Amino acid sequence: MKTDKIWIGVACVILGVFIAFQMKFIQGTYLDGSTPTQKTTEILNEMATVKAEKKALIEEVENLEKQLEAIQGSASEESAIVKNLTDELNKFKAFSGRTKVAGQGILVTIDNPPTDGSYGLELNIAYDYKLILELLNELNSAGAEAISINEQRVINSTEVRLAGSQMNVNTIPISPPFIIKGIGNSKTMDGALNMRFGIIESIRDRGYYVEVKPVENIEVPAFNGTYKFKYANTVK
Amino acid sequence: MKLTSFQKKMFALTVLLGILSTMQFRAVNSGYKYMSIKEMYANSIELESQNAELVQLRAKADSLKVKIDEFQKARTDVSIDYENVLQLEIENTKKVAGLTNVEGPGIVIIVTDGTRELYENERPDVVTVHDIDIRAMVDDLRNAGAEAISINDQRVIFNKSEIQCTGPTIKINDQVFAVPFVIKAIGDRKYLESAINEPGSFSESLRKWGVFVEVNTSINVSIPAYEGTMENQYAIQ
Repeated sequence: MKTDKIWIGVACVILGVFIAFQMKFIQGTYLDGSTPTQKTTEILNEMATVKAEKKALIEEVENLEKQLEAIQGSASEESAIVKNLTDELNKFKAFSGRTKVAGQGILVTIDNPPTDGSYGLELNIAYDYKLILELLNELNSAGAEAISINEQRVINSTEVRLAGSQMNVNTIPISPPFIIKGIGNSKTMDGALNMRFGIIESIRDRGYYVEVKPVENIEVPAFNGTYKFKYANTVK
Repeated sequence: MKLTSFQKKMFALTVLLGILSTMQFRAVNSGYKYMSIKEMYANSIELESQNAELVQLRAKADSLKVKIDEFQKARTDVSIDYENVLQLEIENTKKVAGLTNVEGPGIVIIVTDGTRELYENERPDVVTVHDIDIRAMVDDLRNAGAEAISINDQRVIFNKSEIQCTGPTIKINDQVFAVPFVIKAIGDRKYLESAINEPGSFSESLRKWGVFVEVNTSINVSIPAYEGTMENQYAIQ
């Protein structure tokens, strides 16, 4: 009877040590010292504020753009030269991807396959970002006029880059599912991507989930970043 | 009335149950949600991406404000010629769009097919330059902050330049080129050079396979403007 109690005591001590270890480990690594529910609420709250702020900022940017257009518009009413120049400016602006555009096009969705616990390796399309690069190039070859990845407009300086386990586009980290939109002849683009031994097939062969959908009308956002030249100078 | 020890125990346990269920109820009601560690991880990545977008948007709003001030001032102030301001803006936009000749410090890369002997049963694909190689190098350069890139004096514009394999040649901006490929880029010379030379870069694997890649930095690289079509048929603003 007495030895039983001693054994139970020893077991309790070991259990206590383990629980303490576990607590310490969880607090130290994953959650910065808060409980899972606290952390969850924290993340969700922050997400909500960030999303609200983003919405407000997008509105502000749109308003500012309208203001700028109004100023330029009223100026161009006064003289034909100014009007021509403004038109020219708008043309170049559209060409450099700084305006929102819409038209017929294609919608490509790429996602990681659902994870299977029994498999060792987990597939992540971000690691195969060269496939995304190739897909963009195929779209360009098929005559795409505007492309975006997860609402990031693809422009001259756009990089597609593995960063950690995510992909950076326009220096914005994005994670799957990747939604790639292209404006152009939807039939041509659909055919080019779905070609036998084409890019969609090779993405699918690697085990990723891909879906291509031609659409009547699709909207591609404007490039939201700022672009500054530090090294390149214009030559007349 | 005297309670038996069993009744006392039951009483204590019932009280405990009551407290626990109240706590549970409050936890559920307080808006706490359960998330697995994996979901939490996905959410924190999402949060990071949203925050980066915020920074981007703020910078855009600021630059727009500056521009509005500039144009407003040009409109109201008689001493400033509005046309000049507009002209300057057009020049800037053209530069961003890649429609001007530019020059500046940068690097020149020469890529050509390898000259080594093939091993037995080795496919010649390994030592030849492919469209994907050029694309990956361009992407590496962009990531290193290249401000302008050209391949064999064809300006690389993202939404118009496709780099496409056409058998023994590569099509760039709808013009056909064969080896050697001369890639020029303007930007910080150190960054650009290391983007090509660093271990783990695409060019590193190219070299390992036997493709010839040479990088030179230059104080002044000149890159021509994009000269192809600007017409859009499908995209409407």
